[in-house]
Amino acid sequence: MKNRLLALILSSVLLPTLSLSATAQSRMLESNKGTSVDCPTLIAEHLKVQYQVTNGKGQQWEMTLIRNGQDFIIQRDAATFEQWTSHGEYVRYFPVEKRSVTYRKGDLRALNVQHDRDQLYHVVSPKLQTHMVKTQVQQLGCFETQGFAGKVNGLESQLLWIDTIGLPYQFTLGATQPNLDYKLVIVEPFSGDAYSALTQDFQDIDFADVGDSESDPFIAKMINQGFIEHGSSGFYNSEGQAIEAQGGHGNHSH
Amino acid sequence: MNVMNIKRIAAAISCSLMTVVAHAAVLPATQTDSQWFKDSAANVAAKAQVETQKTAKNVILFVGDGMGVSTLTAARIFQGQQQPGNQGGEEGFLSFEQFPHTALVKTYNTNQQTPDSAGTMTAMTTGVKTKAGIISISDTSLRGNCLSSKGNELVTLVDLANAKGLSTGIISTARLTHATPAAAYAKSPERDWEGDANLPAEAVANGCTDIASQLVMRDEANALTVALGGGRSYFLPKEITDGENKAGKRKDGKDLTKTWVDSFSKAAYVWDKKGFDAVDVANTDHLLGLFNPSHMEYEADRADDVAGEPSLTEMTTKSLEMLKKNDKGYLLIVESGRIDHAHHAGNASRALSDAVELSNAVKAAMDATSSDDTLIMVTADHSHVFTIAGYPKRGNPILGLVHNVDGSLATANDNKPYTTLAYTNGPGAVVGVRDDLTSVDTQNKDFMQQALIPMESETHAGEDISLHARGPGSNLVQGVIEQNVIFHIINQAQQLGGTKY
Ligand SMILES: [Zn+2]
Repeated sequence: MKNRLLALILSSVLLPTLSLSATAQSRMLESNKGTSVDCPTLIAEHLKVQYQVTNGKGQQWEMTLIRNGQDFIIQRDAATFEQWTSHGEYVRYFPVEKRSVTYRKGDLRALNVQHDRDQLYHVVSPKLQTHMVKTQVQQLGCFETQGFAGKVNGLESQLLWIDTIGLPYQFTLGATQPNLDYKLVIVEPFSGDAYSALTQDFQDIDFADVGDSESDPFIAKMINQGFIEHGSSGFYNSEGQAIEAQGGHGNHSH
Repeated sequence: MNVMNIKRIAAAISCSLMTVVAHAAVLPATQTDSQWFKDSAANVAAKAQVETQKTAKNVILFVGDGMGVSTLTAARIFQGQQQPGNQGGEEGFLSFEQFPHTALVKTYNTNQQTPDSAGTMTAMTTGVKTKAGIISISDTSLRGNCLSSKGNELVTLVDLANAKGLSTGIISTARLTHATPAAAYAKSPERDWEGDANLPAEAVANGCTDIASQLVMRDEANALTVALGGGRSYFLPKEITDGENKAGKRKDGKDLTKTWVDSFSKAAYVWDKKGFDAVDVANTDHLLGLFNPSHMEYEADRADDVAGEPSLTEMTTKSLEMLKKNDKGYLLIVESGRIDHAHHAGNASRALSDAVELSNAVKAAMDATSSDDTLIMVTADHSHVFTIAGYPKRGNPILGLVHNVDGSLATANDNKPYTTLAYTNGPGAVVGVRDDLTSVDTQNKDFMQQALIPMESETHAGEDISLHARGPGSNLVQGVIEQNVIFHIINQAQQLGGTKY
């Protein structure tokens, strides 16, 4: 305990806010290392986190969340990533093609798509805690976590919450027989410039223009692949129902 | 005096009145006392009195993008059902549906049975049909190929009106650089060349320019008096962030809003509702208003816009104040651009509220002009696969589930209820297993056409759309016509062809 506390105190004073090695990441997040850990200075609005997601069938994938103020990006697979902006826009990027589709507020409303921004920004909706009971406070790596337990979607679930960055350390839906598990594997600072660079030089189209762009080969291909997001993004939808879809796109839920 | 003479005299007074009087005796009172009978008799009597002037000082062309006949019917009911004391809503009319002259319009492009807005609007503004995607360049050109467009540029109504010394204006709730408004003032072999960043190397090498710059880079004599709509980001360089916190899209560093103000006499640029309301009409001769980085909001969402936007009605009213300053007259082209977008999204409600707002804008134009000197025409560029189906009872909410005449909920073969309004295709389609039609003879008379085909975006439709007209030259609006006839009606009524060209 003493060592970890010391590490945290040191971290805020001494450590640079650079990308950390895998070893450093694992030290930062591991709970029972007896050695001193290098902890970065983290600002909740400017960071990158990665979760390892495991579903009930044992399938695993990575989910990355990058925050830049109230804008944020979520990536679940290599083919696409998504951004939610403070303007209320939702943008889907296709990095291979260097193309993007922007859904403005009116477009999302016309499609009857509602995103729970709060849940996406925090990976697990902060509202969930109000339905669970507090368990113990633990120091896990660099982070003080508050435990929560309770039923979510009728399943006993556990949440380890890092209040300083407003993100889960781990969330397990279905405690005895895991249904879905989110585990934090990477956390690092992320600058505004680095964030802007991620979305540079994409040829963008408004979703409203997709219907008149059938002659654009990229749009034609994407239309056939069913690229339009129908609200299946994220971990919990606004009703708190679990969504297990990996990737999200092409998974229609009208 | 024999019976024939009486008839002749009566006919000279009023042909239609005579009809009613002469036949009333042989019709039962239950028929002639009916309000339906009285109203329709009066309607025909009024029609018989219609006299149409030949020459129009002013012309206003309204285009509802994607506003097919089913959209008009549904919008009319949608509007009617919101009026207090309505009899179900079906009895109402959109403002322009009571114009004296109507025609049906064939919309196909030279290369597409079901058209797009670029080819259809080109037909209306130049008198020549062309390919889908091409803006006021003839069919000889290839889409997206600058070199092939050279020498094939078409002269538009706006060019002709400006050459005659009339004032000209363009309004759209879409981007001003979008296909429909663009076809009125620009020439481009590709509708997507809205800003310089969209121009491919071939276009730059062969001297094609982007659509936004074509709106602004004009001689004073051929400049627009008023241009109001969306699409600000194509007029601003990427280094500039606009008043709604969105960066421009131009890569050439040009601020075309500044060019507008610098190039024309008494020019002004506004970008929000406040600036729009403050425009000094008397001291402004060239007004550019760009109220959104992209398309303006749907009418249903307008109140939520960051900096506030004027309505289509407000833009129409302000434009007419500007244009009326020219004693020679004016040509105003007004597009309701987002009926199309709402339909593509499979969202009837927004399509209908935008169509009703178009009707309101037409009403404002009717109130601000005289049918003695101003030709007003209202049309669409193409239709959508939008249907009004089932047997809902009279007054059934147009956006609701179908209820039978006895009030019970109507159900389909799957025992589920269904709505009156639906689309043949689009994002609202039910995802399930459909038959593979590869080896099916779909021309067999027993083949049952599939419905609700899943597509990420609902599509345009190929049936005719309508054209409604009042004022001088409106008598030319009759029958089933090709879309390019609209150009010739305006050209003739406003006598645009006589000067330079
Ligand atoms: Zn369209």
